[in-house]
Amino acid sequence: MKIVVCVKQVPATTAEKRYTSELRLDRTATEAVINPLDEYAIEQALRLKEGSVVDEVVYLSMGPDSASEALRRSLAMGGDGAVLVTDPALAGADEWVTARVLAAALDRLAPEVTLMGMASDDARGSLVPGAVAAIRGVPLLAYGSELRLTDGAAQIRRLNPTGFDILEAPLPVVASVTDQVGEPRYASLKGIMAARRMELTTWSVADLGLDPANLVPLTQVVAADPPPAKPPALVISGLGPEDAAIRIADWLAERKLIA
Amino acid sequence: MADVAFLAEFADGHPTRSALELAAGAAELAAAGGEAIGLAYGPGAAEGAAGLGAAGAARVVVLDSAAAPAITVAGPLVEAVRTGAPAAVLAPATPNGRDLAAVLVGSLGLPAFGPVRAVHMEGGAVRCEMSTLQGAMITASLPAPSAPATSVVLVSAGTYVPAEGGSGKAAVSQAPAADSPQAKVRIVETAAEAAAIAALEEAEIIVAGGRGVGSEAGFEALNQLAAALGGAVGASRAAADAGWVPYQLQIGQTGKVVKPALYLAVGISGAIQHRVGMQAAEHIVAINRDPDAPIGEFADLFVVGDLFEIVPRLTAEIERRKGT
Amino acid sequence: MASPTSTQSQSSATAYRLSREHDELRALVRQLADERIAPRAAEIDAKAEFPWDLKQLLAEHDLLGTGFEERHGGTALDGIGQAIVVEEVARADATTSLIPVIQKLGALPIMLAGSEEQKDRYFPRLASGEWLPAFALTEAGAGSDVASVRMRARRDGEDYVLSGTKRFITHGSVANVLTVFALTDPEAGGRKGMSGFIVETDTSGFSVARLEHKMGIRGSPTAELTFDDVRVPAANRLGEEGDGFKIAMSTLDRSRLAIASQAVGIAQGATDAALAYAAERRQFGERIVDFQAIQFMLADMASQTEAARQLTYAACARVDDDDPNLAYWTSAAKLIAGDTAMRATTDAVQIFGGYGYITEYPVERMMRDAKITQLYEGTQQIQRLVIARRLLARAGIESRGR
Repeated sequence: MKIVVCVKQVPATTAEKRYTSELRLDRTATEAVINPLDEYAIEQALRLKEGSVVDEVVYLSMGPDSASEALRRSLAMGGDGAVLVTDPALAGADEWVTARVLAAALDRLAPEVTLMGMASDDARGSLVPGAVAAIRGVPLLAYGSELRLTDGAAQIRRLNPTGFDILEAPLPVVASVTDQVGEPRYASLKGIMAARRMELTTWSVADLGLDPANLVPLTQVVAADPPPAKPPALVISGLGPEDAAIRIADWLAERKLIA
Repeated sequence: MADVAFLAEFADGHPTRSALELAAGAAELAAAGGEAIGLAYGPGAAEGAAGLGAAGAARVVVLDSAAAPAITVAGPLVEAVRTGAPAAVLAPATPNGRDLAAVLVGSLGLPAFGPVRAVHMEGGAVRCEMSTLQGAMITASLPAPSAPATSVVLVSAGTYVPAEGGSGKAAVSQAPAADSPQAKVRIVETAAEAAAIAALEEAEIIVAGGRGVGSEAGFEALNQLAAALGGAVGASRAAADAGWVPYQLQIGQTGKVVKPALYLAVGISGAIQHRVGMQAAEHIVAINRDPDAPIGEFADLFVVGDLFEIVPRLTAEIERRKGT
Repeated sequence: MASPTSTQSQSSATAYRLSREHDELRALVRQLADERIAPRAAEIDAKAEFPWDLKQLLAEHDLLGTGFEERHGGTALDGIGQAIVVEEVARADATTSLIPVIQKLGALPIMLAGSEEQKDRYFPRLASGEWLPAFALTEAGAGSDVASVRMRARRDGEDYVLSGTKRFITHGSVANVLTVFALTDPEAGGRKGMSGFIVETDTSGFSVARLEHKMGIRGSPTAELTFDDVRVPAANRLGEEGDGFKIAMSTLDRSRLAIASQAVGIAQGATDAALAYAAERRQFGERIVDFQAIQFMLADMASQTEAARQLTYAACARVDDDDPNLAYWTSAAKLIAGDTAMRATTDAVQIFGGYGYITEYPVERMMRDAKITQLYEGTQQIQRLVIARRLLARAGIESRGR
């Protein structure tokens, strides 16, 4: 059985202050990383492969040439191959274009399961899994905290207000998983070395039989501004807990949040 | 056509809060010459559809009333939107809402926006304001000139307020059955692990605990504070991962996104993954031992101190002010 | 007077260059170190416990096999790659960094003088990290003076019988296999009569007499080992009888480079910690990092650490090339790096001020850890002797230095 994991390359986010080398205080890197939520999809796919239900895990990404980095990092965690769809016509693609392109690539790869993370880093891009499922005409099992495969069917565990449901659909499916899948593994050194040796397949829009004229984004941004500046916090420190509690209560009362 | 449709999810025979909020939103957006049209599904949809009139709907199309995963109504939903061609379809920014919104995008090639901070109609098309780059930017977006006339808009809980004291019945029709691969999704097992947890998205006041709370028992003090405030309890991912609270209480990038009037963050550092789930709260109070915790950068009131000492005293003080 | 002979090392280009692969390797180890090793460092030091969990972590990520051939299950990294692994782990925790260091040190005598059969027998389990090795040369009376080893290895039929004591053996109590040096010919003395042996620690007669309580690297077990008529097959002898001193010296000529990397890592960790602290700490209404005095200290720490690092990499390249002069380079690297680590960690404590002295902050541990890099694998004084000897030789000067 084959799983294709769709991964997206995103800029590394600024991490909390940490000790770094090269005397840099923060860890902002201009380098790109795998979208952190996709790492859970990778982890889930690799666990299924270790359970020997799945024999092949392939990574698929759409992006500029440099997106091959994310694919190599994914392979370094484990996996059997990687495909990059890259084309100048895809610059500025929105979720719709992304879904169309990924769907076309998936038609070629024909996996039993397409697996994705639940969203990309800034919580946009959450519609891609469902849109891909609709375009390909396969069932969608989204927001799973675990994915299981049985004979001919896939199941996810999905939170509901009081507990969880197990949802099932016949293969092939598109599935997305949340961060409750469990900690993603680190790459191993042998994984990194093996990944370096693997062939990356590269496809253009034309290779997928798509016409760039049909891949126009459906939305446009017309304005972008930073949000209105928020005044800095009022800081209370050095008070005993009793005084602190009273100060907080006063503050809440001033704003009519309590009696 | 300036009609605005909205997803109206029913559960346990009643419209969910999101159905009522979106009804009000759709009515507001459709005001200039169009109608608010509910797309109802879930147990009780057929019986309760007419009642959505009081919430602001002029018409309601019942997609299905089965107790089945929301995604299974994709077939009739796509058909209803295709034939009705409203200017916009409002969907809740919940897993169910996103599932259906995504299928609309994929099946009909529709522009999608959101979750939005605000949306207006401009010349028959939506103009959507969204917070992007984890709160660093506010963008305004429109459908592209070549896009179809219907937009899908994801709306977070708390963006609209349900209409009060409305009356009137909506005209109800049944959507024709339509096939979809999504109909193959079924629930094979359901487990109830906790008493029904009031939806965090509906709470006006939330007391949330993070790693600093230290244990399941530590949350007891937060429960009491929330009770005194008449609010709900939430948690950061660290607390949920540690098993101190059920995952339904997790607020953040991979949990719930909330917009209460008051968010009290106790022992929460304020990392970006949590911040995106609550930064839209009207008032943010943080209690933390660490004066350098990132939450100090976006709180309104930042109290440096020991939460175990402060929280019980705060609860007592609030009770005292109520009691007198 | 004729102008003095240049004593500069021949620069016959053993140039070195860091590659993309080195960067990826560093990023991997850095991530493991930041996320899994650094959080454990204080506890490892406080409890003086060997971090088995971190040994497992390193093994699982193929980081203990970096010095072994691929046919034995290793990843055969170049010298710089191996240095990067030790550096990045040491930046987080010096104790844990000894695990990859000793994995190589314990096996080095076999790499240098073992038969193919011996390598095939032991290397797969060492490369995978399933087994831990240790290098057992030092004795109570034989530290810097290696030739004063007194342990005996008496030939008895197809075996040797080892008797004696080894002292200060890093990982001696957790190792599965030791490379041990003992006198097969006491009459001939240490230089000519010493031989090397591979000893499995579950052999009867072997025991751990005691563990030392130390100033630093407290989680690393430093053991006194007793060999009470330990029987070792002749097939476990390394090379020929009498080769032991040469094997031991060759080993140390190379292994001291790993200590240089450890010292570079410790120095870097201290520098990074001091910088981060100085950027937060406010006194007299300002961040102390804005004071020139602090900036000057940090500049010295950083540039000296970089110098030590680059010298270490240059030495690694020469070891990879089997340069006849490699001992000069490895000694210089270890000398500079060890002194840099001591200086940088001391300055780091200074920058932290009073907070630097308390165990809640990591720099006092780093300073205690740094000291050992000036002592083991050849004291700084021994390194100076090695370097001086080479210098004099190059200049054609004879000396009977004491």
